[in-house]
Parts: sequence; C-alpha cells; structure tokens
Amino acid sequence: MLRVRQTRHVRTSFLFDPHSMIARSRQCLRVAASCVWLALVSAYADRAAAGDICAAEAPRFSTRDSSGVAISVSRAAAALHIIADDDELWRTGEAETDRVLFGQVTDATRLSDGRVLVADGRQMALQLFDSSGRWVREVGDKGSGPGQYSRVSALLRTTGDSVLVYDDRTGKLTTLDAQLSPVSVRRVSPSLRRPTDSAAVYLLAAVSKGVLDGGDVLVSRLVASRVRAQVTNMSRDSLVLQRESAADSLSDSLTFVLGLQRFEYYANNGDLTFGDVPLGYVESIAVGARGFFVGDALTFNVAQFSLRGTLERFMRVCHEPALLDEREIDRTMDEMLSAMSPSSRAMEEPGIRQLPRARFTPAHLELLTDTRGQLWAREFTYTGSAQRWRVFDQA
Amino acid sequence: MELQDNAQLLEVGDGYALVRYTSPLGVESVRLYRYAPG
Repeated sequence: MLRVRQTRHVRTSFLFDPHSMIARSRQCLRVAASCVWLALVSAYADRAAAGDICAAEAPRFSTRDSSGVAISVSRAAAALHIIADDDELWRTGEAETDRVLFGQVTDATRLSDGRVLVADGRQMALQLFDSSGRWVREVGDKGSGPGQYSRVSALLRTTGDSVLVYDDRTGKLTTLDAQLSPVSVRRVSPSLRRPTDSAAVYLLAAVSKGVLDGGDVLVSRLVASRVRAQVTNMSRDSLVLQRESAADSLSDSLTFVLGLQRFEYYANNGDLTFGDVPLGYVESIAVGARGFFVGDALTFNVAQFSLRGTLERFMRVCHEPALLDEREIDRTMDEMLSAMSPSSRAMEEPGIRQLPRARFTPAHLELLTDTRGQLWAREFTYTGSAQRWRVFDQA
Repeated sequence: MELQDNAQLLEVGDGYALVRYTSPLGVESVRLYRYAPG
C-alpha cells in the first residue's frame, strides 16, 4: 500500500490526479472503473454547471436553488489578500540571542491581551511571549499529569481566554484558564468509532482549527484524523471531524470520504445518517463558528454546512484551470522525496513516480477560517511564489 | 516581499496573523503580522 506522508510546508496535493488516487485505494481497486467514472462524471458535471452560472454579467451575485440553499457566485479575482513583510510586528526563534530556539512549531495562538502561546512538537513545554515578542516563561512540562505534555499538536483560544491544548501523542485535551493553569484534562480519540489505518494516503490538506459558537463546543483539526471508514461496503480514506463539548455531554462526528459525495453523521445517541456533498471531489475542510466548509480544489466550489450536516450555502468562484507545469511537478516531488528518510524513500519512491499526474492546477491549495469565522482560501501558486489568499465575507 | 511558500498561517484574527516560518536551513521561527481585514 502506498503511503505518502506530507510535511506541513510541502504542498503536494496538486501533484497527482485525484481520480487516480481514488482508484489507488486498495479496496477500491476491485471497482476502480466505477470509482473513476463516478468521480469524473461528477467533476465534469459540476464544471459544466459552473460554466453556465459564470456566464452571468455581474461580477458577484447570490441566488437560491430550488431547495432554498443560498448560492454565492464570484467572477472577479477580487478579495485577494497578501500579507507583506512591511506588516511584520515581531519575530522570534531566529536570532542567536533569542531565548527560545524552536524545533518544530506545531501551532500558536494569540491571547486577548496580545501575548502569544507557541507549541513546539519537539519540546514538551509551551512557550509564552509577551505582546512585543519577548519570551516570558514556559507553560507546562513533560509528563502525564495535568499541565504536562508529550507532544502538543494544536492550540485553540476559546471564550474568556481559556486555551485548549491537544496532545496528539496521548490524545489528551487540556483546558487552561486565563492564567494558563490547567483546569481540566480529558481524553479524546477519533478512533473510538473507527479503526485507524496508518497505511492511508496522506494527501489532503490539514483541517484548520476553529472554535464554534457556544464556547464549550469545538470541531477542529485537534481531533481530526484520517481513518478508514466503511461506506457502502467499501473502505476508503476518509477524514473525520469529531465534535466534543467541554462538559462531556456531546460527542458526535462527521466522516467525509475521499472522492465520495457523501458524508456520515454519527449523533451522540448513536444514530447514523447520511448527507450529500454537492462537490466533485472533497479535498479540504475548514471549521467556522457556525459550521464548516468543504472545498473542491478542482472547481473552486465550497459548500458550507451546519454542524449537523445541513447544506446552508454554496460558494462558487468562476475558475479557469491552467495546465500544470511538468517541471514544477518534478521539483515539488523531488522536494517531497528528499524530506523522507532513506529507507522510506527507497520503499515509496517507485510507487510515487508511477502515479498518474494531475494535468491542471487546482483552484485552491487549502482552506482556513479566521477568528471571526471568515473563510480564507489559498490560491494555487508554485513553490517559491508569494502566497495569495482569497477572503470570503459572511454575506 | 510577501509571505512565501515556506510560511504557514497558523492563526488569523482581528488585525493580526500568526505565521510559522521555516528557513531553507530548517530554522523555525514565529512571526506576528499586522493584518487589516478588507
């Protein structure tokens, strides 16, 4: 089974033909033809529909479909935002005089008074900086008790300056109060309902973090992982969003399956329902305050769902795909392979080299939401180019 | 200069963006940017 582990900086999802990735799924091989056919038909049907609606004169407009779902369409390349170096306020971790040298920064969050908390996957303690970037102190240390960590992978500031700290090695979710002292520890595991499978293909972008309205409920990359899901008697690579409340009164999950236009919703009471994703290909997910966004990188369509999986809005950016530069594919693939250990590379390179390549540039590379719940979509650019983000307002 | 490919947006909030940078030599840093929402 092919395994591709993606580092956080090397964007590789655009390299390969996503339809071929569906077919690569071991269980899907037996029905590869129908899988590919399904994905192709849906993708091209979506593009055709996008072409029709994009023929309108207005650069941006909203309408509703027959079921009342709002559809927002943009033809303009406006709303692009670029963060420039001139806007930098401070930096830390580079100079020899800096108090902290990082090993692998996994996350950071800014408190309401301007202080910044940083998690480093190679240090057990969190690092606290003041509003001007000066190091203040360590928060927590190594261990298994409250306020002790093994590997912190994510931080989330919630209401009242509480901070949620997720340790992905132990599965512990720690709540810190405004003084950054631990007030509760609980264990969360997205694998409770599903067996994990380390052989899954890791090509999807990470799920961006987000805190939901209500304060005590979260859905985020904290507990998102890719697992195998049994859907219609086939096992596929999938992405699970698990929702938890701090009071432990709620635990439900949504499972998106790579390449399928369907998701599963497991309610707290054990009921299982299904929903449809009106996209050609589920590629990226971001969590907003009132729900979540699911994006199709082929077509630049983004569906916004409520927490229970009801489609509430459909955003479509008129996008003309361009042919991918083969040299850029080679360069990015070399970069990805060079990050592997020699043994991993020897085992996996032949399979990677044989994967059918994508022909067109994707519409976007990743989705994230800001603390106001606005959706950001990163435009496709080649390695070494400046980042450009399209910011969607709430309307 | 603008955010390059070796930058990762960690958090975007009201008026700021927290960014992780990895230098070509692998040195990691955290930077805070001013961001004016459009």
